[in-house]
Amino acid sequence: MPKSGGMGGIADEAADDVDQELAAEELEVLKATSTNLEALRPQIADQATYDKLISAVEASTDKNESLSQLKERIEALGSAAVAVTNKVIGLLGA
Amino acid sequence: MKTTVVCTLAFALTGAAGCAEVPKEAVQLSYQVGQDMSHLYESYDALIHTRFEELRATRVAYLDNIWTPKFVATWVQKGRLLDVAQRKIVWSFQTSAFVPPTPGREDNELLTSVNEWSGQAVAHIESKRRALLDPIDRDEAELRAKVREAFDRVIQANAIVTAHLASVTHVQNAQDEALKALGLKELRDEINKGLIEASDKAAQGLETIKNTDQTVDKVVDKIGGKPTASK
Repeated sequence: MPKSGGMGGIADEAADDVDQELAAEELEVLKATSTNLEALRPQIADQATYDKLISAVEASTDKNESLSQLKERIEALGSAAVAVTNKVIGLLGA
Repeated sequence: MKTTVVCTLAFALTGAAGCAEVPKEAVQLSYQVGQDMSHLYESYDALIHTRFEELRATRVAYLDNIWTPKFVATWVQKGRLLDVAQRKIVWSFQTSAFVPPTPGREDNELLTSVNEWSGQAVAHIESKRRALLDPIDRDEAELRAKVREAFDRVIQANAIVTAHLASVTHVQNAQDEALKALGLKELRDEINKGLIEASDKAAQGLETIKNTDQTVDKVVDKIGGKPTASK
């Protein structure tokens, strides 16, 4: 309620009177329209638990991705080694 | 040289990935769950908003139908609106009190007084509206934020699992290619098949042992003795 002087002060008194008169009725309305947030809040595991598990899974994922890249790398290394060997043989032959 | 490379690759991948298989549908399923989780969140969020709208409507109904009429009636009396309307008094901002109108300025003072009276009425009704609705608005914002946070956490975790499943299938594909190059893929598949069959047989064997054990217990009970543990 606005608390002010002048005519506002008189209006404050009028509002206070009404609030007192309707107190019981208003309480019923407030009770019927209140929300128990704690009961409605999703009760899932906390962020720390998730972070710990995510880190472990991500580390394993990174390892798998490295393994799947290994094929290309070893193949690239193989053909590069063959190319270098051929070059050396060529040079020696020359 | 190439054989050495492929052998190295095959052993590295086989050793790391093991024999278990992750079908590509597992990745798709996990991805789909992530997508659907977002839709579930939108639906859940809308449901929360609808519920709070209902709560607000109930309080607004109380304000409009009960509190405001009562307040206006009280304010008409305490704010002496009838006396003002009948030009008996006007509001004096100098003395902050009702006073008799100044001769010659009655109309102007009447208008100013009624303006002030109605301004106060509107301000107090609006103030009451905020007092009734602000807690609901705060609760709604808090609950929706909590739900959003929870869904984000689960969606993020699911995305991590999806990525992991995808990485396993990538390794499997690389492994298959390497084994295929060595002509060993069929052998790997045969080994896997054999392992599954062996596992099934082991399960059947365990079931047989369990049944036999129960039969022995029944026989022992029948002859009234108790089996003693062998030392």
